[in-house]
Amino acid sequence: MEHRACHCCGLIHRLPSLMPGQQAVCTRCGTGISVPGCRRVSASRTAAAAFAALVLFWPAILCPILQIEKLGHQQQSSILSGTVELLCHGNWLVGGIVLLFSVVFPLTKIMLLLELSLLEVLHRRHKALTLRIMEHVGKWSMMDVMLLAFLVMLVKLGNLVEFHLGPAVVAFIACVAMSMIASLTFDPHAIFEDS
Amino acid sequence: MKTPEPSGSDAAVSETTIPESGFPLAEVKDVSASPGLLRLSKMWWVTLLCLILAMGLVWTSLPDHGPEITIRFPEGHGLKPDDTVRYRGIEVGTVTEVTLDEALSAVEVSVMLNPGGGVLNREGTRFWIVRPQLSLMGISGLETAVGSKYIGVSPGDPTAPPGKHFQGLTASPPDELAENGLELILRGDGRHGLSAGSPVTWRGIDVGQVLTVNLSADARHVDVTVRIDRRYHRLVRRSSKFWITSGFDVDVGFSGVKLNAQSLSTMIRGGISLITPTEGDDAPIGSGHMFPLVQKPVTEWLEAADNVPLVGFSLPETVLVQGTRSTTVFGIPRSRAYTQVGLLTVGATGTNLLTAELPLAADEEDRTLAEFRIQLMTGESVAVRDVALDDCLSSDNGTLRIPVEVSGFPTAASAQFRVPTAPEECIAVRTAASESKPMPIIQSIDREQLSLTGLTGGWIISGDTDYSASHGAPVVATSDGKIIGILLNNKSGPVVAPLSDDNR
Repeated sequence: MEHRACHCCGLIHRLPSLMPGQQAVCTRCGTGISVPGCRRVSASRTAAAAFAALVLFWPAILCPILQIEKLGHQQQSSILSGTVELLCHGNWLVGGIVLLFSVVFPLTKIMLLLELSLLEVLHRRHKALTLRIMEHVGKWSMMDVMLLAFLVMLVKLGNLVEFHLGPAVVAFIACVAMSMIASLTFDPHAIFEDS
Repeated sequence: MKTPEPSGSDAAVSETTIPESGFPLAEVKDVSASPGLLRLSKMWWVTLLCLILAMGLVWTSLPDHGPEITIRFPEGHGLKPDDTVRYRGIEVGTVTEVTLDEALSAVEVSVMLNPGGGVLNREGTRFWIVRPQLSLMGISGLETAVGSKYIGVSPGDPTAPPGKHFQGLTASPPDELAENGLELILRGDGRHGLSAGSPVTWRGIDVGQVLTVNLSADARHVDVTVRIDRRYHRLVRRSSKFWITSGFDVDVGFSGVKLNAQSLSTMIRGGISLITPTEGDDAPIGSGHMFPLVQKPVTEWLEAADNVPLVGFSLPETVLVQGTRSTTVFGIPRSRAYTQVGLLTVGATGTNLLTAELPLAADEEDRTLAEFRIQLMTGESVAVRDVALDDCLSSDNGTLRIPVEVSGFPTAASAQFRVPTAPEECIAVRTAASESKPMPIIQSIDREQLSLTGLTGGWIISGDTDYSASHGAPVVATSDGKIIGILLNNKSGPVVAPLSDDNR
């Protein structure tokens, strides 16, 4: 008989044999421990959200996110073009940090989530490693912080320069939401479960 | 699951180290109607939604652009990519690239016009770089001193074929605002401080400006090209005289010092005055005529100059409409006198008064107009009482035609009216009282000032001229002298309410 820890309260249960349409729930907190095809459902949900985040990621970093008009000079920039400009101007540290934390890490996180939940390109043996990388990278993917930075700018610079938020902001918000949903629905237990 | 003991088979280890009874058996719950496939697909709907959203966002952020053109300028003046092309103060395009041509003799500017700026690439369109210019003629382009430069544009004929390559001007064309003026050449013996942009005045009023000043072919004279505004065409006749008014004359004599200057502006900028004495040939002339330009006017010219009709037709004589408007402010009734202009007309139904909206009498149920007086400029007046609103013909745009029974007042016949089809050059006419005879006062309204509005059906008059004294005045087309509408001062500003077929 299989044993499983409830991922909410940690109590270890023995799993009874389940009929289709039945679900094992924790005796202490009532959280679902497993459903038939649990892995499939959970993984599919994560994959869907991760895929949505991946789709939205490109317009979020490529479309113009800000249009600044200062003293008649108009400038339009996307996240990527802004980062590249920072690097071109020799701001290696700032440019590198922005590039790493708002482009590379989020993309890596989304791709790894997608890999774990849907693609399974890598061998099963690497699943634990992938999961670990994903968890570490995920901590440093700070798209949501970037969003906050834009808000701060909106409040602070509103009187100095005239600026408009571009279409990328919508994509950005949606991308942040979708990647959060993906990591929330992601159940690390499920990936080790034998199908 | 960890197994601390290194030895033994897996099954045996789990049997021994973890007693099954130590862990509770998980409860089993029925999950209603196996949602397997549905739950699999639910999140994918969101994904689909996100996909559509992403596609939509990419679509909107794709730059929509109109025609692309290149303009050659002899001088770049610091123009940069992303600078704008503006027409009438708004952006109609963007500079994409600024390069030198191969011979290093000019600057090639690539411009992406906005989709709405499609007409601006017609042949004959003129472009120039707006930059701050400070000269005695005035200051222009001051906004570009701090901000970025921009390219000004003056559209050509909209029916001309579209072009791709344009030659930019070095400065804004002097005639940018006054099109189709009358171009004349004045031949003088010196420059006398004249330069492009100097005004041409008639009794101190600007009627045109100097376009170019250059030497004649034989280098004995200076040829000054001037442009007389369209609406002052009629002032220039074959007998017209032109003289220099730049600077000022100081005449020191026994009687004291006599200073003679036209105005500070002509003193600094230089200028040309123009008068048309009546004797002599007064046939109208066309463009390209040459006149002598003298240094001083002959006194006889000014004395001989009689009236030159600015308009080639007789103007309708208007009357004043006076009354009181009662309003209630916080429950306290107050009355305010008002005066507006009206026009008496004779139609098939008798005498009518054509004017702007009038206040109703205090008791609204009757729907009668409040009492008002029609006053002629010579002083005589007649009171009009108890006119039911239903007998009047009121139009949506605020004009009112009231049947009145008056006689002996100047009236306009219905043949003098015309229903206009589009905004055109016109003048607002009202009659002012004077000692001898009533004099018409005109305020000209340019075609460029008029813009159609969808809301009121009127033509909004732009510009900063005050028309408040002309409320209700008839508007006469300059082309044929027919009355085409009424000038009203709405809340939104002055408008011309054109006549329509039903209030003819």
